[in-house]
Amino acid sequence: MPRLLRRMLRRPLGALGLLIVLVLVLMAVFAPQLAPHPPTRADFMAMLEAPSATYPLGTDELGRDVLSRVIWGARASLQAGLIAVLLAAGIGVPIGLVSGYFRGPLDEYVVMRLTDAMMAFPVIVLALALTAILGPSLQTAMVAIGIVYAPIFIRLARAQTLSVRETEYVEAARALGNRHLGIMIKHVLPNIASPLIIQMSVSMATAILVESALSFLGLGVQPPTPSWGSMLRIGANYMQEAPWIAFWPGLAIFVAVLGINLFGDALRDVLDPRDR
Amino acid sequence: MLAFVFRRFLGMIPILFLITLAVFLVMQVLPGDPALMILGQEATPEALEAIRERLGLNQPLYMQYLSWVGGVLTGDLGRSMVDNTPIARAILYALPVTLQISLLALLIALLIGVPAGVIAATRRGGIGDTIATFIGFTCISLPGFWVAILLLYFFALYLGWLPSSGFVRLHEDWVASLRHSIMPAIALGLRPAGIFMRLVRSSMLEAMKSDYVRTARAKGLAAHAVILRHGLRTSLIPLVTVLSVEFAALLGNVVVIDTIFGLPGFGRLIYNSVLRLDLTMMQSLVLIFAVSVIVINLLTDIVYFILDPRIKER
Repeated sequence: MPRLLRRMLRRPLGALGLLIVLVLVLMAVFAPQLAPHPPTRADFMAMLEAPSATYPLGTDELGRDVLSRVIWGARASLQAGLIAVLLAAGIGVPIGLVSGYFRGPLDEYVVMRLTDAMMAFPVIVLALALTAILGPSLQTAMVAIGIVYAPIFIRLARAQTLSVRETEYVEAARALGNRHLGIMIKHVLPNIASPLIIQMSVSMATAILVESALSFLGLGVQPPTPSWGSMLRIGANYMQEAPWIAFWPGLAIFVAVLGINLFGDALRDVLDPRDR
Repeated sequence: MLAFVFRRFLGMIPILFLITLAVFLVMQVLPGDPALMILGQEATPEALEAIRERLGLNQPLYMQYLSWVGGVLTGDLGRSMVDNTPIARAILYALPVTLQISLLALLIALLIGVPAGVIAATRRGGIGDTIATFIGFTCISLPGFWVAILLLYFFALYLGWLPSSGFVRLHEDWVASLRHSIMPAIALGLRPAGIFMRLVRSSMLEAMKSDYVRTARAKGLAAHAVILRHGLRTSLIPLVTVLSVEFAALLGNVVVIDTIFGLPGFGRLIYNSVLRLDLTMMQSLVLIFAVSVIVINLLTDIVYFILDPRIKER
C-alpha cells in the first residue's frame, strides 16, 4: 500500500486529488471543531452580510454563517456519495458476479435485459421519480442514487467475471473440487476488484453531483440541515444582493468532485497499468 | 445491414415492455389517493367516486395497465391528472425547446472536447497534457447548476448581454432564440466536453500505437497528417457510443437547467409533475425519456455499424 501511495503522489494531479479528498474527510469529521459558528444558528442582526472578520464568507438570508455551513455541508455530500456507491456496489457486484459466473438464460434474458431497461432512464429522472415516491430526504436521495447506479456495477462485475472465469486458475480451482461460492469469493472477486474500485470512485464523484442537484431542486437534504445543494438553492434567489451564498457551496461541490475524480484517475493509473 | 437493424429493433421490444411495466408499477406504489389529491380534502364521497370512475381507477390493475399501454401505442398518452391538458400536446410543446438546447450543448461539447483531446494526446506526458487533462476533469466536475447560476449572474444580471429567463422559439426569431439558448447549452455542455476530451485523448493514444499508424509514419507522412487522418478517425468510433450515453445524461440534467433558466422544456414538465404528484403526466414523461434513450442507442448502433463494418454480430 505505501508503494501504491508513492506512485500516486508522483503524479501532480494524483497528489492534488489525494490532498483534496483528505481535506474533505477532515472537514466532514471535524466539522464541529472547525466551524467558527454553529451552522444552523440564525442571527437576525446579520442577515445577508458581506464577508467580514466575524463571517469570513458572509451570511445567508437568515444570518447564518456561510463558512460554517460549507464546512458542515461536507458531511451530507460525503455521506451521500459514500453510502449511495456502497449501496450500488452492494447490490450490483453480487448479482453481476453470480450472473457472469453461471451465465445461462437467466443471465442473458433476465439480468442483462433488466439492466438494459434500468439504464435507459436518465439518472436524475429516475432519482426524481423515486424521491417523489419515498418523500424528499437525504436518505431517499442516497437510496435512489444507489438503486440507479446498481446496473453499472452489475454490468462491470459481470463483464469482468466473464473473462476471469475462463482463466486457468479458476479452471484449476474447479478441477480441485472447490465449491462455486468459494471460487467466486476467493478466486474471482480479488481478480475483478481493481476495475470495481476505480468505478466506485468515479461513481462517487457523480453521486455527489446528483445528490447536490436533487438537494438543489429541494428533493434531497431538507432545511435546516446544511448541505451544498440546498445552500445553492437558496443562494440562487439572492444572486444580486448576496452572491456569496451561492458561490461558496458551488465551489465546494466543484472542488470535492474534482478531487475525487483526480483521485480516481490516479488510482486507475496505479491499479490498472494496462491502460497506459 | 437491414437484417442487423431489424434484429436490433426486435431486441428493443422486450426492453420497452419491461420499461412500461416498471414505470406503471412504480407509479402504483406512490402514496396517496389520486382522486383525493385532485379534489382536495373536502370532496364528497360521490365526487371522489365519480372521478375514480372517470380516471379508470376502479378497474383492476392489469386493465389499467393495458389501457395505458394501448393508449401509448396509438399515440394517446392520456391527460394530466391535475389540469386535464392532453399529455401529448404538452410534450410536443416542450420537445423542440429541449432538443434545441441539448443539440447545441453537444455541439459546444464536441467543439471543445475533440481539439482538447487531440492536443493532450499529441503532447502526451508533457505539461500541455497535464494542463489539458486538468481542464478536462474541471469540465467533468463542474456542477451544471452552479455554472448556470454564475453565467446568469454575470452575463444577464451584471452585464445585461443575455436574457435571464424564458424562451423564444427558433421559427419566431432565431437570433433571440439563440440568445436564450446559449447559456443553458454551455451549462449543459461542459460535462460532455470534458468526457469527450478524455475519450479522444485515450483512444488517440491507443491508435498511435497501432501498426497502421506506424506504417503511415514509415511512409513518410507528416506527423499532423498521421494524427488527423489515422489517429482521430479511429477514435471517432468510440466517440459515437459515448455521444449517445452523454445525450441521455443531458436529457436528465435538463431538469435542473430548465428550472434555473425558466425554460418551457422537458425538464420543467417533469419537475412540475413530480411537485404536483401528477401521476399520469409523470408516468408518460418517464416513459418518453426512456424511449428516447433507447431510440438514441439504436441509432448509435446503426451509425456504429456503418463506421465499423467489422461489427457483424452482437
